[in-house]
Amino acid sequence: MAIEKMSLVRIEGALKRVNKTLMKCCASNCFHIIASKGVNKDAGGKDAGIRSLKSKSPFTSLVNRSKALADGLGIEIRKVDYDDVGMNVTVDFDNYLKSIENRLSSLTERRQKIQESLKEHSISLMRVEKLAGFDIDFSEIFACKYVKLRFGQLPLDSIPKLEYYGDRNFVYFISSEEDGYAQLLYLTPVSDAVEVDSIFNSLFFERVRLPDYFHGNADEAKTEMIKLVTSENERLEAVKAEISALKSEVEEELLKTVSKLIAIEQSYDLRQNVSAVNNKFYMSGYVPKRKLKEFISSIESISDVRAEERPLDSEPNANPPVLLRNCWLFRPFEMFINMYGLPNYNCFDPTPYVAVTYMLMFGIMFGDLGQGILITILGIVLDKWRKVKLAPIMQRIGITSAVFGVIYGSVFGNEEIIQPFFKIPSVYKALGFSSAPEDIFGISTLLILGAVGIGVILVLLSMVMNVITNIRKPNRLADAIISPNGIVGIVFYASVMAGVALQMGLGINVLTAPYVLCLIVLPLILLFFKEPIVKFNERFGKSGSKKNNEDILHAAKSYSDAVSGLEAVNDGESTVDGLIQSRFIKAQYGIMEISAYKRISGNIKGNYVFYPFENDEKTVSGVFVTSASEFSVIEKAFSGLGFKKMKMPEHIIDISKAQNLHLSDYVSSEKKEHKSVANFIVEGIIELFESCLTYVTNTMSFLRVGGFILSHAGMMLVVSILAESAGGGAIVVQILGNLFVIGVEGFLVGIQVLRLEFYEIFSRFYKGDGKPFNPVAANFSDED
Amino acid sequence: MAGSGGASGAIIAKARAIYGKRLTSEDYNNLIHRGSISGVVAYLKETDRYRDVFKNVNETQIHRGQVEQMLSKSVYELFFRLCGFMSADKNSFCYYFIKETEVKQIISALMYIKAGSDDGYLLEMPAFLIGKLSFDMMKLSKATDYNELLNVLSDTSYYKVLKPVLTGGGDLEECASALYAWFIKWAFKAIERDYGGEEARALKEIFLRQSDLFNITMCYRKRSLFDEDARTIKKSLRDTYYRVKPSVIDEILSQPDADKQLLALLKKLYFGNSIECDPENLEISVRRYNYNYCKKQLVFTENGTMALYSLIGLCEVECTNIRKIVESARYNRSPAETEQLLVF
Repeated sequence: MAIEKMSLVRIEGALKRVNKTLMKCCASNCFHIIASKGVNKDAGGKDAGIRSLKSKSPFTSLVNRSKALADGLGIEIRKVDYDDVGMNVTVDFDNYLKSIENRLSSLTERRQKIQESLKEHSISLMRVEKLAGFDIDFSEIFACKYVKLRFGQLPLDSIPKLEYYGDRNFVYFISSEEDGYAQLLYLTPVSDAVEVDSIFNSLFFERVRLPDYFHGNADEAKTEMIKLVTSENERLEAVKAEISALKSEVEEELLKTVSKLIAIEQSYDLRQNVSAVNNKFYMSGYVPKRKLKEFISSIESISDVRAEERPLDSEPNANPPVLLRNCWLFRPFEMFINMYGLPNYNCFDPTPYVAVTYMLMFGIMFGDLGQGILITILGIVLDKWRKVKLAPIMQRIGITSAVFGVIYGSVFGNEEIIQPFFKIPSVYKALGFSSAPEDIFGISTLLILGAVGIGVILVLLSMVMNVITNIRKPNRLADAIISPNGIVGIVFYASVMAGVALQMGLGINVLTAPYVLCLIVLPLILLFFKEPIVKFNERFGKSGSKKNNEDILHAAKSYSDAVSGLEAVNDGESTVDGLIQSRFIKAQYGIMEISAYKRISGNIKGNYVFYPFENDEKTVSGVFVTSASEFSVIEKAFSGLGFKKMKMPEHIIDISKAQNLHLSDYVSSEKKEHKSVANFIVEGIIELFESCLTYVTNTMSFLRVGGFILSHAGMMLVVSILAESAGGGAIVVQILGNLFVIGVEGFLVGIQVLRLEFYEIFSRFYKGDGKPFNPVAANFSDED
Repeated sequence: MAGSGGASGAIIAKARAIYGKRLTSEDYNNLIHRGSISGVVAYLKETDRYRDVFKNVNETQIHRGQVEQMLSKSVYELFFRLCGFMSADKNSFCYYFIKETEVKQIISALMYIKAGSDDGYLLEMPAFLIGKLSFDMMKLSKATDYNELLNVLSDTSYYKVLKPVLTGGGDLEECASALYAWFIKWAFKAIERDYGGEEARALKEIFLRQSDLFNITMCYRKRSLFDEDARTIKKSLRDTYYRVKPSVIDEILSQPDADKQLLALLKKLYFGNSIECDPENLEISVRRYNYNYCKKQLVFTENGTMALYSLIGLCEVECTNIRKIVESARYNRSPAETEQLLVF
């Protein structure tokens, strides 16, 4: 129940095996690849030959063709095992796809022709249907030389207007009238056709052109057309059956082929994450530790390829991805952690804590045996039926709701079936009641106070977790001790709460002068003076200084750190201490001869790093970074080798900008700020006030836990009253009322608990800055 | 209060519900970007207000004139539908719309006769009103001169109105003026018969305002565009005055800067600061004023007839907007230009 331990794996091998290796990585589904750093130059100034592989995939068109083919055959693309597919080169795939494409294209061509013909005949049928009643042989009409026939529709409003043109040379027949239009046929001599057509057009006549293959009268033509349409439909079905047969024949093999092609294609996409030198490739990535052996043996099964585990910090900017691993009970709650942001790899997984507190608080706020069981059943159904992500959480919170329902004695709002806890004599006497309270509203004050108590415990737990988290991190001791969520904050908060509880609840006077001074005032003073205390410790605490120095040097030993830090050098002075607050690092950019560069490691001893940036045939320019305490010695040693100090060129800064690397990721980047005393006091008071206010608001926020217990009881009371007044329909009102309460209140409680988790609890100890574990895999979705 | 009866309430509720389905600014924005008549009709088919109007139409073949006729028909159908809810004792005035239509049709027929167009009126004639007016529209469409027209109207009140004007050699404008004068008298009589008190005053005010607006804009056009003299201008005015008395018009028309004074008068009496008085597009400014006036009446009135009048007024403005959009699609006006012509 934690964050999955990761191993850094470095894979290298013969360049010709790179695709096969990447496909294996994809198939393993447990390899999170690290992007290649790109082109580099060697120390000798020549191109070291390191390059990223970014070659264009020759398989892209084949992938598209295979997808189109699958689509044409109505095959849904899915990932299948393709180990037995013997095809490896593009020609093999091309031939295979061609063989199916040829068969399919002849069938689709036939299908398309039939569909076009069917469409045409259907339109003709529709037209001839509108001519029903015309007992005229179309063949004769089409054969007329001196008479023009027009068929179409005329708005009914225009029909009376035809009377006006009674003296013009045309006759018209109306076959039917519907939807505001008259289906109409008019005949006119060829000599008058232009004028008559113009008249009809001005009356908004919409002409429909009849196909010349109509024979006989309208009814005969219709029968003929129906036969034609039926025959075309039969032909279409036959072709579809042939396509279906082809699909059955090739589906299995085609799916394997598509899977393999997609995997190959994906491996080409991943090549940009691979570095190559001469004929060898190198790549790195993270693999869950428990799958390491299996992964390495899988990769090493490829000849000329070797995989080995490396220390996690051997990779620059090492920030292993996070994969949560929890037991079945807590696993669904990982969804909430993902929503907020994954934890950092070096932190702990808060899922179990969230799971327990979420289930507990939901149960307390929505305690009902019947409704809890219903929520669980609904969760099971939704999980099986629709795979809803929230469903497993519903199953679990339903159970805690049922458990608390038993404690509250509530079954679908009925409090008479099970005896509520507050009606047990020993309990209500212990709570200070002489007789059993009538209902849960009788103990509302206790519930509210209990809710605050839960809040205090959860806030304190969150603060303890903050302390543990910060103690485990380097340089965070101050946050663990002197901070509102550190030990000092815990002492203050716990003392105030305990004092208030004992004084007001039990009447024990603990708020004495020593108690207040030592446990309340002193922590506040410490919080107020946190900043000077921490600085004093950093400056004069030996161990702290040493550790800080080591941390900074460690950080600086990353190429990117140095590049980023050197931005300050360009400002004129040769140090980066203007950039970083600690003043433990200094750096100098300059140029030296290659012969001197080769002698650096032999001649200069100490804690320093030299980063060559550019070179020509004779010189190397670069920067050395060292601790401030050793700077003068190292500088002298470099000068002894002929190192000439220079101002940082612009394009070097551009490199750092392009790579988006910041030294501040490793070392605090807050600019050194000289605060006046007044500033310090004002800021201190505001921060202190804010901290105290947060304690109060966080605690009060938990009042909602008690509030929802009463709200639930109140809503169920309303349902009961409505049911009683409904007489015979009581059962219906009960069912609808319970469903309403589950739907509305259950949903609200779920949101409120999540709000408590995220705002009151997470804000005290958790920072969701981890990056997710994304294993490389072949993408079968169409999004690409 | 007569207007607060059940029938009136039903009409008011229905009128407001129908107004709720009006085209929105988003609809207009989409329509002006359609770029073709078929595109406009296809869009209108998807709106609540015009779905039924265009449901059987083949938008790929529809003609601009047909769209305009269908829009007019939809307004008349709406009017007849709502009139069915009007109580019997308020029935006479609510047919003001039909009377006004009759006047417009006669003026249209006169215009085509004057222009010598044989079937001009026939093609424009709203055939869906055949049998609903007090004269035979088909016969009117066949009239080729004023005498034939008078014969068609011989059994109607319009005969008495037009006969002296036409026999006295009066022109089209005088005919229109006489017809509108008669119409307003008819409307006032109907209002006095059906209503009393504040309701009658409010309904009469509608016609008085319209008459005032017509007179001022007519004076402005004739003076600024055609530089006609005061006597000629006055012949084309409506013989009903409200806030702008004849003496005021006489005085303004006698001034050299009459056009400016007319615009100032229009702004002072009606448009105020809420409506821009654009001399280039005075028609749009008047339409905007009418739209605002009708909208206000529809929102606040408790009188069913007023609600009906306001709704019909708003629908007519909307139909005019669509006509402008269709026209723009035909003449390739830019969306920005078209937008200037719309009132909503």
